Amino acid sequence: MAQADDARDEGRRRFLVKVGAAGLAGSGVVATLGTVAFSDLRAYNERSPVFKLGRPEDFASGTRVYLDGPRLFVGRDTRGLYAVSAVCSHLGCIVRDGGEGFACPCHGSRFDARGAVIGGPAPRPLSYVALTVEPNGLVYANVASRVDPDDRLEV
Amino acid sequence: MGNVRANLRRLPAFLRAAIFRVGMPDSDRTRLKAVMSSLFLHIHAPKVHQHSLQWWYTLGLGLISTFLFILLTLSGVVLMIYYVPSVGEAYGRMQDLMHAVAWGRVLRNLHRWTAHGMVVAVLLHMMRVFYTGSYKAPRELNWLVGLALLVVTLALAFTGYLLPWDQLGYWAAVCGVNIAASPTEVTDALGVTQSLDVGGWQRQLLLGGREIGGDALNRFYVLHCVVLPLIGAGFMALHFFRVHKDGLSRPDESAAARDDA
Repeated sequence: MAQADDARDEGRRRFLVKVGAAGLAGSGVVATLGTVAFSDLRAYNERSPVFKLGRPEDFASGTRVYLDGPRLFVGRDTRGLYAVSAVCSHLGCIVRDGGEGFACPCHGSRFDARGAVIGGPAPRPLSYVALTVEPNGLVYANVASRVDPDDRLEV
Repeated sequence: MGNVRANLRRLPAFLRAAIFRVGMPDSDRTRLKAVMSSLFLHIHAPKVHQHSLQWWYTLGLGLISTFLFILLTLSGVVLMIYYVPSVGEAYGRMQDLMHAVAWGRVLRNLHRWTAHGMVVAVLLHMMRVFYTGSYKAPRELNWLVGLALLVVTLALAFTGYLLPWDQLGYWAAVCGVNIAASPTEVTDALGVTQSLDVGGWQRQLLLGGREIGGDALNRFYVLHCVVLPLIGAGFMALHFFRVHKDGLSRPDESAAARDDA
């Protein structure tokens, strides 16, 4: 009789341990997913990725200027306007324009005049971003939209 | 009335006896008793081999790390009284601490140098444990807990670096957060970033946005002042408990173990 009770107790304890472990694991998964969801806002109170750059004639042929707001080098060559992101493809510092190319002050990445990597730890070339002319005649850049380095805005 | 006066007269002695359970120890037995009945002293293993107590064996690096952590907690709490974690305020509050608050410059530099010192002490402690082979059985778990504490220490240093909201901290945070986002390189290579963007989640978790701004500063502040110190204190309790239970390793331990076998 006593042995039967012990066996029943043993079975009950194992069952409770299993229930407890499953509950712990389950709440761990829920807590992890909940933290990921909690950390992401449904709407961002942040500036738009679209920036107004100015009139097309502000950018003279053969020149390239740095615009601090959108963190872009905007220039014009014989084929039209282009915009190169100044954000280093390595860890996100702002590269400087040395005329012949770009150099990053943080970890020494170097890029040629087209933004291709020629030295340092950068894994990818500098990105080119989309330019458009809106009906008001002004040039806008969308820094979230990447384009081919050969794309030009003909204005 | 006489009883009250007599009790009051005995109060100091009562208190002393309640705090120092064992009087001034005068034998090995009472010395052991004094150590065992004290919260702080009993952290040490009750039995320690003579060789482990030679100063050059541990160099006291674990205790040094602990004391630096306590110093950082105290100076950090005081700094919190003047610091405000907002984009508009943080840098000015840091400058106030440097110029307008009595002892502010001392406190801030104390916090800063103690933080550097703790990273150095923790790394040296880890090297000591490695070179003396103290990570071997039965102390493997404590080595792993120590690794967790190393990560917590480095995370505390990293999150604290952004709080003055100066150029140095800002760009360090930009780089650090992009390092946290680097699993994206792997998921990109595998072509699964659309469904399993681990790097993006980590970045999101730290920044609370697409770029470093007020949300990121607030998250770093919460991590630095609450989350990481609590995690660190928890792991430290486990670390000390294991030191108490496993005891210190000793210079001739492996040789002794071979002889025993």
